[in-house]
Amino acid sequence: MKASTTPKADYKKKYIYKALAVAFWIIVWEALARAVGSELIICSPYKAFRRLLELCVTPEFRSAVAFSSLRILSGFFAALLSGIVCAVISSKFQVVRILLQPITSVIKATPVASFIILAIIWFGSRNLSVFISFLMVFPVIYLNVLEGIDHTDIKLTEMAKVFGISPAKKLIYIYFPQILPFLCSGCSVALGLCWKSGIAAEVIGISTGSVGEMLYRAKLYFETGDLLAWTAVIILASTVFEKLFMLVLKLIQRKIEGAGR
Amino acid sequence: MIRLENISKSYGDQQVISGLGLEIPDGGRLAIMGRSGAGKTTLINIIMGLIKPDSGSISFSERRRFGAVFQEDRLVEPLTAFVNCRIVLKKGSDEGRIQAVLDSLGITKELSKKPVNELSGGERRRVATARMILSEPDIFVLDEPFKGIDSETLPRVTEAVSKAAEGKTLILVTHSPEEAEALGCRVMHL
Repeated sequence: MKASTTPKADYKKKYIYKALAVAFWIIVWEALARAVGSELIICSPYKAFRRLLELCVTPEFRSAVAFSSLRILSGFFAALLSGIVCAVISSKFQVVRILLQPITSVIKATPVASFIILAIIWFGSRNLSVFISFLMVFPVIYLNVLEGIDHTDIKLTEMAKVFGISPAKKLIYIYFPQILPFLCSGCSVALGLCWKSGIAAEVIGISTGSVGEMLYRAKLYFETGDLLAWTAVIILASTVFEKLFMLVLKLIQRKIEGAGR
Repeated sequence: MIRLENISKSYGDQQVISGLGLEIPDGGRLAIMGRSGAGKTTLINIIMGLIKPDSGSISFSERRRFGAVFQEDRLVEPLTAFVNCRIVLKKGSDEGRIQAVLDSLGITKELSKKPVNELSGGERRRVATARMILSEPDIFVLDEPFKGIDSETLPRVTEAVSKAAEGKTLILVTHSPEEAEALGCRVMHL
């Protein structure tokens, strides 16, 4: 007989499987480090973790994380806002959609390194990651929101017209619930992208006081432990911010949909 | 008064409405009947301004705030029944009225908290009816509004609509002479 499971048990099981998968790869990492036998090439997970703890308590760590987070997230939010605004304008005016089409295609196809080098020439390295994360996030948000707008149900728009629903209510209750799934999927992709591209920009541009500079220094002095520790910091920062941001979107969605009123 | 003069509408080669003239006095009740494809829905969409006629004119002598029960419910899927009703409320209206109207149509507080995609066809129809009533329109437009509503609930829904539309103009599209009679409508065949 097949035992039935509750959603709570399924949820728990999912997390156990995830933890086991992570544990498996840490064991593989440890085995690899032992097999190679050189800390210069690959250090053990224990050493990387110990280095991470050591770094965490230094003032340099806090200021580097704050420096990079502030710039990368500024780029993200600027792209989020302008991506949404441009998508709304494009949905209304075909000429704007046509004008933006080649730009988004070029941004998507061009290697990020080309933009980074150009941006260093144009702006210098201090605020490089703001521009690069903006550039990587903008097309993702713009295209996703535009697709969401294109998929809005015309019958609901007609309903709003008949009832004389105000533009603000139309935006919140008619458009937003229909566009939100597209926005969420765009944000989920864009949040990963902005950290990856932003840090790459800081490494290439050697932005003083940034996480990217720390990575560059680790590479320069062959400090593999530092390199892996800083990488873990980036993954953690990116994941935490993504989870928080998606949670906020979810809460807004629940508030609008009126669930649990 | 709603006055339609010489209205024509065709889709491609198919003429749906041809040279139609019609007057509905303020506070009048009209049921539009006819076979499927006769142009009933097209006609009310022309009246509501959703479709432009190929020729002819339409004029209104009174304020024309519409409230409608569409052929499809046209409820916003992820929103709860309550929120679907709230979005049509006039500015400054008492939100307490929402549940009262929903109750009068047999939509309990528990049901009104559910997203509309979790409701049955008949329940969704009643939420769409509640939404129309709550919008306090000058002109009520109902396109087969009682489709899917069980016979036990039907009298209370008809009564609620009739009461809400007292003194207002009402246009009903239906296949049922009984529905037209229950709402006290003059019948027009297309």
